[in-house]
Amino acid sequence: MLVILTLILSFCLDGIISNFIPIHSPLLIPLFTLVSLMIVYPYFKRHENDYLKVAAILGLFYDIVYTDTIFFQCILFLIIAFCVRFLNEWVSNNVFSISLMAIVLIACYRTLEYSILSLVGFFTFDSMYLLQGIYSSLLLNVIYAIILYLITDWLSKKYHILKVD
Amino acid sequence: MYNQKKIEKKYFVLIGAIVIAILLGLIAHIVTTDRSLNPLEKAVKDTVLLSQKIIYQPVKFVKDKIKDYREKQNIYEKYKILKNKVKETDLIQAEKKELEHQLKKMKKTLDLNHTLVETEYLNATVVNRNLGYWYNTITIDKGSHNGVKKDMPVIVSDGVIGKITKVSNFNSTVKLLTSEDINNKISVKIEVGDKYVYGLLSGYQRKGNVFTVEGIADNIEIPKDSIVTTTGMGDNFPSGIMVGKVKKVKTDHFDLAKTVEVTSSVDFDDLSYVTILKRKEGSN
Repeated sequence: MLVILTLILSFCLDGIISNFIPIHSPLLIPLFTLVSLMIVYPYFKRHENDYLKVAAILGLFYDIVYTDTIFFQCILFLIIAFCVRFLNEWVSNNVFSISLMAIVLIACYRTLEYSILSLVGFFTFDSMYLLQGIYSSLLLNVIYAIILYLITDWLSKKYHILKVD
Repeated sequence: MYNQKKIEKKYFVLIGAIVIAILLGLIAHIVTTDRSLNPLEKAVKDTVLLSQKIIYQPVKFVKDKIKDYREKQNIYEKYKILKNKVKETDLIQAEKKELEHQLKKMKKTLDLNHTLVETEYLNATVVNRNLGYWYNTITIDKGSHNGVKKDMPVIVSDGVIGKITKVSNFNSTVKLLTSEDINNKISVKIEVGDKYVYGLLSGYQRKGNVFTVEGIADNIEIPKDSIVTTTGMGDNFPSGIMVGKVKKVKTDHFDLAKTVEVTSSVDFDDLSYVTILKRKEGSN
């Protein structure tokens, strides 16, 4: 329930918050859905296949509702889910590691998306534009990751929800 | 045993390469082609955006109230400006009627089809803004149910902002002119004295909100602050919609053509309400 609520809330917040932030904001581009995908991983209690399925479905919804690129975000979210799984094998969950993981995942996601779009001829590759895309998404999402981590961690302790760090 | 493993590895690499190639092909098709949304996509998009709209309503109410309050702060200044403008309105109305009458006559003589006068205005609210980041799109709350069709131009009071690219039943996606998309180029004209110079709007720099216009002959002098509008060439944008003003004129690397920097008249960072230009029923 906590997982579903977190994902739905983050998904809706992505759309709502975008109305308050300038389109070409240099620092505050929301990627809450992706961040929430990272936060909920420990709650799957090593049921990794379920986690990958959820990532794919979430990506598909992101595709249909926000970007109109059916299956593209789905594939990207799946790759990011694999990255989350890999990172979680190496680091334990705490505020510092969550912030670091958020930065790494956002950079991976933006780079991967931009590279693929350049590769298929959507636009020409410009490293400065890519860099701008990465750093404009960091600040707000890292803050969101920390807040979401603290809230979910508190809720899991309060309601005894099993979490594998 | 070793050879078998080597062969298996080769097959694995081959299959992996084929899968990646297919995926890239699929993504290229999805991203670059002008596809329409399928019924399932439309249904999911409309349902999710409707629920998001319901959640957003109280927040929007507060946001609008704050905006209203801020506007009320300098209401007297605005009143004074508007009072002067109202005096001119009757004159403009009369002039407009006369011009419309003349245009109708001329259209009949010349058999013209698309003019700005023939468009209907449909106002829409922005539901979400550029969540794909690279795609430069916004979603609005009007769709095919309201008569919105693909490629319809979208404007705000300051000028043109883009065109409709995807339409579902109750929502549409607008591709902004700021998009880096190679296919997203429109033709524009620059007013130089009583003549027009034609060019192609080809790029956008976020810093300074500046467009680049290319394809202008080197022998034409373009003064600063000249007005840039759409040409009406092609099917999408009617003629005469404001794009911006000339900021700087540069010559290209080969000294053959000019590149003009145009400051956009629209603040793309703050789009809340937009207007779709619908072609009137009956006109082609």
